[in-house]
Amino acid sequence: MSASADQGGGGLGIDPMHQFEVHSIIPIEISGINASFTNASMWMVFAAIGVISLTVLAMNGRAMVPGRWQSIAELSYEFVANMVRDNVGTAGQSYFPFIFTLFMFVLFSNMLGMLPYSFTTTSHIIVTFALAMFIFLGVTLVGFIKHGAHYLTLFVPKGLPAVLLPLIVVIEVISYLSRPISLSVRLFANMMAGHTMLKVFAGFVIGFIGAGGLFTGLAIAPMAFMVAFTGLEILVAFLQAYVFAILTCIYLNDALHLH
Amino acid sequence: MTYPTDPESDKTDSRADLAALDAKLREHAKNQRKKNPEPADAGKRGTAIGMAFRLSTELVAGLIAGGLVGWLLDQWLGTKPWLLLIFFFLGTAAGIMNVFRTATLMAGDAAQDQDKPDVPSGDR
Repeated sequence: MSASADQGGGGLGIDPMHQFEVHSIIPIEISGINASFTNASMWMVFAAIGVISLTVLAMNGRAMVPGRWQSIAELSYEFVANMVRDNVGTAGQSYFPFIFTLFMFVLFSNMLGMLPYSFTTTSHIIVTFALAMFIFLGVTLVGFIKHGAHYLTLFVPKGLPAVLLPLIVVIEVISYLSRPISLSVRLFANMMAGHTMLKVFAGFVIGFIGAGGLFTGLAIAPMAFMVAFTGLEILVAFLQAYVFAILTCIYLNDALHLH
Repeated sequence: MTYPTDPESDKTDSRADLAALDAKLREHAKNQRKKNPEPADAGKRGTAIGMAFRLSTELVAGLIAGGLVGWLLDQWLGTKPWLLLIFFFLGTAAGIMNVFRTATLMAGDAAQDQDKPDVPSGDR
């Protein structure tokens, strides 16, 4: 929570955006392109390792009566399996591995971001946009492979008067193109706003204590807010991973089952 | 998921025992579901803030997408700034359409949850 507390004195010098700074750990340069291994890359690797450990190590025992970790792994599997079944139907089963990986990666990135001194990879729009763009291109490709040029009828609503056709088709295409934007902005904005808010209030606590005297007692108010807000942030971290996965399911459903 | 017997303790009948127990559990779960249907999944619709935020991003995303398309077309066709202006408004229309669709979807979900809460939603 107090990632920014170590720099700047007396509260006013605290920069709530410091937590989002990317700095390289292992500088790598490939033909003039900066491809350094940064703290962002590191926390993405941590998220991937976390997902792999949960699914591989926890399921290693394959116990009839699952232990705690195996229960978590089984629950998350069933959760995503139900989500795919409810939103895409049986045709979606072959895309389950992708949705599951996506959900777990986003969930782990969000949750790891809740650790003090950690880095929230999903609070950077380029990360969420890359994920969203990958989904968008993948879903579009699936649509064209399944339906061929017929997929373009997605942009033509049924029972439309011919006069309105050019206008509506353009609007529909823009609406389709806006999908990766809304998908990525939603996750990024939620994570960034929440984490900034936490740090701002942490700054208030330190500021009040630094002011001394009567003000020290006042520090309890932002502190209490932070405790409550941390709980809310954990809910948001889960909810946003869920929304990200379910919207992928909805888009996939559109591509598989043309109206 | 608690089994009264330890499956490791008695290897010989444990399989038959487990099968019997499994049948019993299934029966119990079915009765339970019939008697006490699961409440509407709270996570499905999310919090009110989540809904509001979802709608606003839909609107903004339409605007950005429209503006971007217009700007790129301007660059390509050299018609600055007309297509940007036109597509900005088309983007607004697309954003409003997005919001309308999302809201319809949300209302549909809410109505479904109210009308028939005993829809079997797997064994979540």
